[in-house]
Amino acid sequence: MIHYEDLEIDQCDTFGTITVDADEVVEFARRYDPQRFHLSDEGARDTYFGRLAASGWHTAAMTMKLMMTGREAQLASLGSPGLEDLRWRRPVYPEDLLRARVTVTDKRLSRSRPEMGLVHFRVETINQDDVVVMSFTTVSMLARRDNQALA
Amino acid sequence: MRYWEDFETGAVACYGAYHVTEDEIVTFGRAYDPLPFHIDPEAAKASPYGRLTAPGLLICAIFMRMLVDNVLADAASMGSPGCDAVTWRLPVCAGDTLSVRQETLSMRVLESRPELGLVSNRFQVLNQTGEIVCEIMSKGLFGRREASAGAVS
Repeated sequence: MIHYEDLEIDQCDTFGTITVDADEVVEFARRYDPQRFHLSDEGARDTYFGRLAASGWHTAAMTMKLMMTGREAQLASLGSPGLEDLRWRRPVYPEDLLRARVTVTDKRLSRSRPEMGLVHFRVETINQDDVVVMSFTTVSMLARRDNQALA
Repeated sequence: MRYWEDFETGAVACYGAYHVTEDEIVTFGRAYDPLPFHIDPEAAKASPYGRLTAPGLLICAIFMRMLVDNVLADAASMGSPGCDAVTWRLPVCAGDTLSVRQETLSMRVLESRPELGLVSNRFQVLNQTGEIVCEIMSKGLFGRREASAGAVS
């Protein structure tokens, strides 16, 4: 388990890659974001996207997967209060290779809950052309190592 | 078809009724956010939440579905540049029914692409007892009516 103490300010890690799967793009969109440019090439043709593109929320979910599973051990995460400055900068297309660059920008212990600390991350999702396609900042609540309840 | 001009600053709309199931939480959690309290009902009992809770991004995805079904499906939606803030305020659990309250905060035409307009909204995702479980400050891009009529190229 990776605990609050294991992450340092300015630490930068890159996780991935993950290949964007066309069937998954369509499946996610059918369930959660059924707009025409997320459902088929034909539907996207005369739009900004030009061809089938992933829902922004799907890109965020794939990035979360990279963040949660990319480390050598499981993150002792207790959740997150939210995201800020979520920017969908460029389209994400099937067969794109995505990686997540995750930088620790700040950390501090929680005053109200001494069993955990708050770690601030800047997250960038980058494609095979080294273009940042999405970015956001977030805070994770991470258990401290001496928190036996979660060991 | 709803264009940029059809939104109105200050307007409030409430819509949606999305029932969240344990199966959907676990499926989404396994795929994208495999923390014990999102994928394992037994392990979740020992977590600070005491039970299975929905991943934050599942709440966002469910919000999106309600937005598409109730607003975007019949609108000249051109996507979104992003969200200034997503705040997860309360846990969402299996059995909850979520809805959306949408308040339009501001609107402007894009200088770089005058055929498009931006609409800034505050979305609140509510549970069945009216509690705000999630708040999303986001922007959406919409085609303008006169552009579609050919007045703006």
